Amino acid sequence: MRRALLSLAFLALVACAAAGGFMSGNPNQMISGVTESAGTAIELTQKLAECDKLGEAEVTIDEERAIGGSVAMNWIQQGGGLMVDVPTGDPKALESAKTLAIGDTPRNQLTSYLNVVGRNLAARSSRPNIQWTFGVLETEDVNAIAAPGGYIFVTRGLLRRVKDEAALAGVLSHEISHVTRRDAFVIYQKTKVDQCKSLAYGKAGQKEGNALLRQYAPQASAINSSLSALSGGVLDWNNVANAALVGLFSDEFVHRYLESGYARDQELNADAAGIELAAASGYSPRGFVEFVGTLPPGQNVFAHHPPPADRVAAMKLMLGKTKLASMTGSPGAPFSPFSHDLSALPMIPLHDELAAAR
Amino acid sequence: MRRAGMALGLLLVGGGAWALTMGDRVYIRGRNVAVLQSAAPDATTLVKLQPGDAVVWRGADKKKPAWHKVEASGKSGFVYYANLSDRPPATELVISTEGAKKLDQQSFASSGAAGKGVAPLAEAYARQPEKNKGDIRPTMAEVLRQLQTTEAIAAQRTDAQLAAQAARIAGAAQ
Repeated sequence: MRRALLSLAFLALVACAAAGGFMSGNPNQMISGVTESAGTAIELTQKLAECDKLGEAEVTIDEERAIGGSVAMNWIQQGGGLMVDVPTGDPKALESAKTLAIGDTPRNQLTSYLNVVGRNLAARSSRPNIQWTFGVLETEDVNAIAAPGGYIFVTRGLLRRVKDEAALAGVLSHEISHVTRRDAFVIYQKTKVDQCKSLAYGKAGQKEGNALLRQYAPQASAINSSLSALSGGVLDWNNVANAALVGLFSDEFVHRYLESGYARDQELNADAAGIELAAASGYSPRGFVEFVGTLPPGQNVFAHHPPPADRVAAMKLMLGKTKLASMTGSPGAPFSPFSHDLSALPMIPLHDELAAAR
Repeated sequence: MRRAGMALGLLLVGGGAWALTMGDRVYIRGRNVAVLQSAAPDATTLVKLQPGDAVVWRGADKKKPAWHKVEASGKSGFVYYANLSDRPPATELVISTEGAKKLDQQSFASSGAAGKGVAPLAEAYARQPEKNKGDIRPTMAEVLRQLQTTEAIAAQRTDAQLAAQAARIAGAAQ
């Protein structure tokens, strides 16, 4: 997958680092490296403190959808596009999701099937009413990926490997769980803080006459204006005037995600939560466990996930405890998919649309 | 129904365990969940509930432990176990003219904040000239059109289609 381009803020960061020993990680040293003016140093210190607060502020649904939509389009582009037939005719019609006339083509039927399976699962999640969208990426790589706001993608290569709907449901539920658990926010919030600080250093550097930073001043001005509104809690996430800030955050998020992915614990927890969601919807967890077990280790398959053997072992341990509990429990103990013997749940055949696409 | 004979036990998730007692509050997961007069899928529907609706838990049916007795909207009936959760759904943080506020899933669904399609700022992101330069295919503008089409396909899935899918899964378990 292609890396995101260097962002404006990253350039500013590099320039600041060169100017003031950024790499040492010492804020005081960084500040003194950027500016010799006491006034600028005080302003910069205050700005850095504001940046830290950005990482503590909760993300609104509008923010999540703006960033998530941008990130999703990066995944689509890097996955070679979506398996869908775009209607021809008035481009404005594309903006009306509820009324857009969709052609009844095999690719659209496949996407339709995926959305029925996915939305049925998501309806039982902890965020049933956000706008869940499921799509198939053209690439033959075996992968699945989510973006904030409810975007879930699986690849054509993955669909070729799944043997039944239970396995597909497990994959989708794993990704749904990343969204419901807001796993991306760990990376995203840090991205916001770091980019904010980069801009603050850049702004201070401009004041001090740094020539490299000055050439980015016009762009940085628009972003700083949006950033000030964000810090003040009044940024309009639906106003296109703030597009540059969304681009800054999204591109850096994509870069960081591709660099390291989610944490191991986040992936294992998504496996557990995914199994619970799939089982709550009536699918056997065996389908997903077996599918993960077929993934070749050490290749670009679920690139940042723990090794398949580790995931399978963790899921089997969990399911083993569940089975033991279900055998020793008694009526009157709690409900939940995990209080039942999940081995009785069905392995459902793939629907015609997917079977045909394979 | 094969699942009807399943035994119940302690919940084990991530190494932890919890138990409910009679009278505890639990929550509906899933849309249009039927509270039935008796513990059978073809029993009369007393009331339909929505995600996050709170009900009072009265324990599993002794003969069919996959069905749980609950009290909801002044009525007492049975709900299939998979439609219940010990945790309420998440809230969504929205900005309105009154400022930021957290909405539960039902309020969120009726607020108009859901179902808007691709966010305007994401659209603007895709249309930036620098995102459509060079020989990368599809271009971001093409990607946007593909995403809008996929969002439309997703948005046009009806409750009836999702109900049919749920019934298909349940049918496979018979």
